[in-house]
Amino acid sequence: MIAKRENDTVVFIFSGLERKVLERIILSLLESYKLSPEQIDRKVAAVWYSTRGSEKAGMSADETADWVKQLHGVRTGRIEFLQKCLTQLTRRNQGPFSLTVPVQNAEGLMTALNDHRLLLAAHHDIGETEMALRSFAAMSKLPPDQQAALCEIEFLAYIIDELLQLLQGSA
Amino acid sequence: METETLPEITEDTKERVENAFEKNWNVIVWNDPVNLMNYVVFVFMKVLAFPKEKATKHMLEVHHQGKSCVATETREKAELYHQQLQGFGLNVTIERAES
Repeated sequence: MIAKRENDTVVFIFSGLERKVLERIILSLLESYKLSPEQIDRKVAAVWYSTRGSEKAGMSADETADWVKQLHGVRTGRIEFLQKCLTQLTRRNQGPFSLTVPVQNAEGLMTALNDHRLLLAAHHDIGETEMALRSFAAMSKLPPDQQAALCEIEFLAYIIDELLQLLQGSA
Repeated sequence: METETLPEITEDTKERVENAFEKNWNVIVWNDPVNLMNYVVFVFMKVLAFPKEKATKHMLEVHHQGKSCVATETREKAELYHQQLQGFGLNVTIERAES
């Protein structure tokens, strides 16, 4: 993957495999964002729509429900842009595959990709121990679904890191 | 024309008004193994308008001590920070500061 800033846009160039993985990730994100907090996987909901903070603040049930609704609204607000990214990624052409993101949307993309890292970790029970694994030998002892999830988490970390560097000074 | 006088300000109203303006709510960010350190720094700079050094200091506090109090604000502002930080995927709570 190559990421570069061109004036008011961030341009990614992906290999065929990277494009395919990112396409699958964005499709999965879109599906998850469209689900209501009650419909989504319980473990993911506990992270994306955690009510720990509102409960600790002594909010009423109605206030908490409103709170969760607003958090869901933040996520559904990213759907239209993610759909545009998906359209670019699924454009059938001979490589290299590019994704051009306006700088004003780059933060939304980064947050959505981070959401997917949180989703994968929650869904596959990936915690501190698994995240700290650094050798292939140690990772290969994990169940296949956790190995695949960890690879995706690392791939997304790579994209987020690149985005953070390109966005420096825009925070 | 009949005139009406304003009701007396009760102790209860006074207390509620004071509470609304008192900066006595802590915004706490908790450690989690998934969010990237530099992502957390970015979020602190973005939401709390921290300079990079301050954002990094609080991120390291979260990382090493398990949590960091990133702001002490009025209830309304603390709730706003809470929601914005949680919208970025951070693990956040707010609690009344001990007086």
